[in-house]
Amino acid sequence: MPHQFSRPFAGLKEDCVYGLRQFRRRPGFSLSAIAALALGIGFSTTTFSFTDAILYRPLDIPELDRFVQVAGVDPKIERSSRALAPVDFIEFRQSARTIRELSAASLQVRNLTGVADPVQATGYSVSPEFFPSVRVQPLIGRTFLPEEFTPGRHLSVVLAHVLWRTQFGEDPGVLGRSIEIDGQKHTIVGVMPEGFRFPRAVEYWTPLALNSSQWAFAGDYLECYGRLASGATLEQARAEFNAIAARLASRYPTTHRGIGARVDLLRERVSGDLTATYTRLTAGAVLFLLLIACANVANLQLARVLGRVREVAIRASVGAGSYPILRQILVESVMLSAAGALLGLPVAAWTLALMKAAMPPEIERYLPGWQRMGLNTEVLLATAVTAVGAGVLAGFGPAWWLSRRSVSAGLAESSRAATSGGSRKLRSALVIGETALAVVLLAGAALMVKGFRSLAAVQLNSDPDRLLVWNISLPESKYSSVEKVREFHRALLAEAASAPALSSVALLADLPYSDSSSSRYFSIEGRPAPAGPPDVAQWQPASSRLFSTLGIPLLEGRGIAESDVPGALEIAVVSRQFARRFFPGQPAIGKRIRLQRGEWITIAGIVADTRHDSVERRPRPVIYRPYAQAPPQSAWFVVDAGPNPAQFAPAVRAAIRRIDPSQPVARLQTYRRLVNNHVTGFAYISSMLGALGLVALFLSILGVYSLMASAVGERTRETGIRMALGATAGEVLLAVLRRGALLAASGLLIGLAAALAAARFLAQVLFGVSATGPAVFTAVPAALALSLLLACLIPARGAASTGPVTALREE
Amino acid sequence: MISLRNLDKFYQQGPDRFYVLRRINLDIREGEFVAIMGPSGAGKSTLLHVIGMHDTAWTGEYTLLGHQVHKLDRKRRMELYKKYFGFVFQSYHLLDDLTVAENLDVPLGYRDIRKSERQAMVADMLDRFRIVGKKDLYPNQLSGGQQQLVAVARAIIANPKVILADEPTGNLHSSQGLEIMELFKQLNEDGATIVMVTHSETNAAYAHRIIQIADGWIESGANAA
Repeated sequence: MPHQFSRPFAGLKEDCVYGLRQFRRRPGFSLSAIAALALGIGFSTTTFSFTDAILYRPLDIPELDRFVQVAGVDPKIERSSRALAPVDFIEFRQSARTIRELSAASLQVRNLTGVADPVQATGYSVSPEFFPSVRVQPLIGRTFLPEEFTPGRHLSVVLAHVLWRTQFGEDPGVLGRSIEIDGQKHTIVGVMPEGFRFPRAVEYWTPLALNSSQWAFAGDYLECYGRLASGATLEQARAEFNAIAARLASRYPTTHRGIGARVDLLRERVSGDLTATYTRLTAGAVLFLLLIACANVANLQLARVLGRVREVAIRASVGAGSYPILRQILVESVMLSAAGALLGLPVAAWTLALMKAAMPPEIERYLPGWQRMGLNTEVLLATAVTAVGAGVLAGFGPAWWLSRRSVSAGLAESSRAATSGGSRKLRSALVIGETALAVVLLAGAALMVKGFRSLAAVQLNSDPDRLLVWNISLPESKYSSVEKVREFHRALLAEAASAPALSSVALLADLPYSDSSSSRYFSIEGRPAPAGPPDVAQWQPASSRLFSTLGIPLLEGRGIAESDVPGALEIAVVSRQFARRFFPGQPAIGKRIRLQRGEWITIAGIVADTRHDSVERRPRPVIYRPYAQAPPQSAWFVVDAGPNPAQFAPAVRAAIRRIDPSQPVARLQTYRRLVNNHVTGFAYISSMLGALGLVALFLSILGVYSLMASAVGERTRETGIRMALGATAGEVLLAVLRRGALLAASGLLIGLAAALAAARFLAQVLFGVSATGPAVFTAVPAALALSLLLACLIPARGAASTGPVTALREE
Repeated sequence: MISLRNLDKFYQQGPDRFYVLRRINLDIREGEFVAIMGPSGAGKSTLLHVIGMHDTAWTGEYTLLGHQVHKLDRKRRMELYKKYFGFVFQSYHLLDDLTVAENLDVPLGYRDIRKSERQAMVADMLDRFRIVGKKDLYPNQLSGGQQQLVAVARAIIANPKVILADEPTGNLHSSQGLEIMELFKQLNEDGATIVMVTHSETNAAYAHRIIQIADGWIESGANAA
């Protein structure tokens, strides 16, 4: 075995020392390469941290990778994730073999009193398996005892750390004290540690205490979690749960017809389906960026090794085989990328700090893992691996090329002769590849940004800067009848409207862009029930001024009137989409619909469609009902309060206090702020992709510039000869530009073809992104072509200004 | 044909001027074969490049066939150069990536000549120099003599009135050098004016006149007999 392979790392230190000397000799090259790698690796590190925190370790739970969420699927609803009924949970828990420790949790928004100010708080009622399955011990106190799941003995509460801090000042003596949840006293038995968010950020947990008839209920309101059994795979669990769901569907046809089951890893669901997809695609975009950076550095390396042909030939002539030469170049390349990584870490730290600081707290709490983003051990390890990988990737081509030069050829050749060989082709290929990658990245990023912008473009007919909105959730314990609920809403509408500035106040169940929405199954008079799940539409109890305040035009019939009260004709105003879908080609007005066990409701009017949230592909059908006929327990209020609506917030609070001093108000803010928070995620992804695109553009320009600059340098002699034979400065300039244009055009064409394919892929996997974007596919190559041409211009002008005597003398 | 008057070329080095050519007064008649000789660093090649208009940073007067070169801009000088000059280098300076035929085509490409006409001129030159069989070879596939033969062919393909040659046989062995010099002699007899820089007495013997130059000054041979 040759010596060099028997001790592969002998002389590594000398390689490093020699590499450092090389960098010092060519500081321009070293700085360019390090800068390119710092950008590529810095953004990679940011994405590792982001992906690690959001996708892989959003929750601090042991064996999170085995934790799953089970939900129902209604094939009629896009991206459906349906809650489970108690009967489903019982059946799943008894029958399932692939998932163990199944637990149920019911999300609830309740009013908290017995603390400082009354507040609205979010909590979970959880089944007995919940805390044991999570395997996280409380910070103080305990979780629930088995007997506390018995109705009547269930008034215990475990606090989240955030509630303990904000309402009790982290008082360890809080155990045994009481708080009122919707007016019911609960005894505090424990406090969970800081950062414990399961299944998502809530403020308290109470026992889910159901009696036998409640457990037999087929209505869906439970979330369900569990751990994959040892040896079981996600696919097996999905198959098993769908089989059980099919049994349930046949047993409960009214409520479960056509409903399947979905089983997903909790870490992928916990921030929502879209977050996971967007995070993966951002990671993909960063990989492209890293490849561009590597191509850039490979090109610079190749330019550098050309000047070392003679040196390497001399080394080979004194006994160096291919391996030491290959290793020397790779060591230098890895050293460069290590320096790039070191410089990339502050870039990553700065980007992460910026991302964290810019995230509104009310959104951040719904992003488990967000605050965990940072340069932790795992991220640093990934950065180190990336740095070594990038170094090898960038250095291998040049190292391989150099190690295969023959000794005699190397000794005989000048660097000029060396450049005429395969290296020029290799370098051209690298620039073409780099340009192609940049086109794909830029076009992909532009399409995604365009898609996100259209999603984030809030479609409202009213000015959100003038609107003040708030949410009231009335506790069922106190507002136990529809009459009480109706009376509260009526009183609040009257009280608010008594102030002249708030006279346009209106009520609706779910405000567009508020992330809340509810739907109802219904049937149409005179029509048989459809195969599969019943027809479904969004359910919007609303007050008479809603359409004028939100600027929703009335298209046919009438709107909601003050006279639409109980005892009067039960009416609904429906959206145009509703009328088109359920009454195609026929008048909808006068037709009757009803909920599963309700009164017949006559359609009295049709209003224009509205967009309820950003991820709607098309408007959903909506049933607006007079709030007096269908009072919602939780309602949004919206009022056009002029150019500075926030000044009326105290007046709103006072009005609510006058009606019910213990009733908290939630999310009292301008509508502008609410919709801005709604689109924050899109803004983040857009900014990130925009930044990646710009860096890719910069790296491509740098790559083409450095190639053309060194190509011009290598061709000084040729330029001199051509000028001596009659070429004018303009002809030399054109010749260089032509060569640059040829490379750019090749890269652009290949990139454009790949970008079209990538766009189709993106449109399939990413909601909101269109595969067609003539503007994108024209503007991106045009911008890139122009930038690359400018990158060629400087070396071209340099070549043109070189006189033949100078050029030939350099030779 | 060529007249230089009080021509200086110098490099500014701080407050001092370093003269490369000093008070050059030189006349060359049409059809003459002139050799420029002198020790290394004397300014021979610089003078050749000044005559060939590759070097434009000089002072004095330069008249070429009635054109006052010193008053012309760069573009106009380039037009004159393309019209009247062909250049032969010591190191041949063929373009490595182009074949013999393509190398011959290069000067024609910079003159306003149609493609078909250029092809005919290249074919004619290949035939005249008896290198048709080598037209598709690359420079590194030729011997030094063959490369210089191609370089001379390239220099005269556009039918220049003046051939400027900078040590044309410097890199060749004696028999190849002889062949090239016989070629220059023939070209001169056919009417071309030849200005050649050389170290070789043998080569200089082909010339009608020898201009001796030292430290930038012309020592002898400045004027035609």
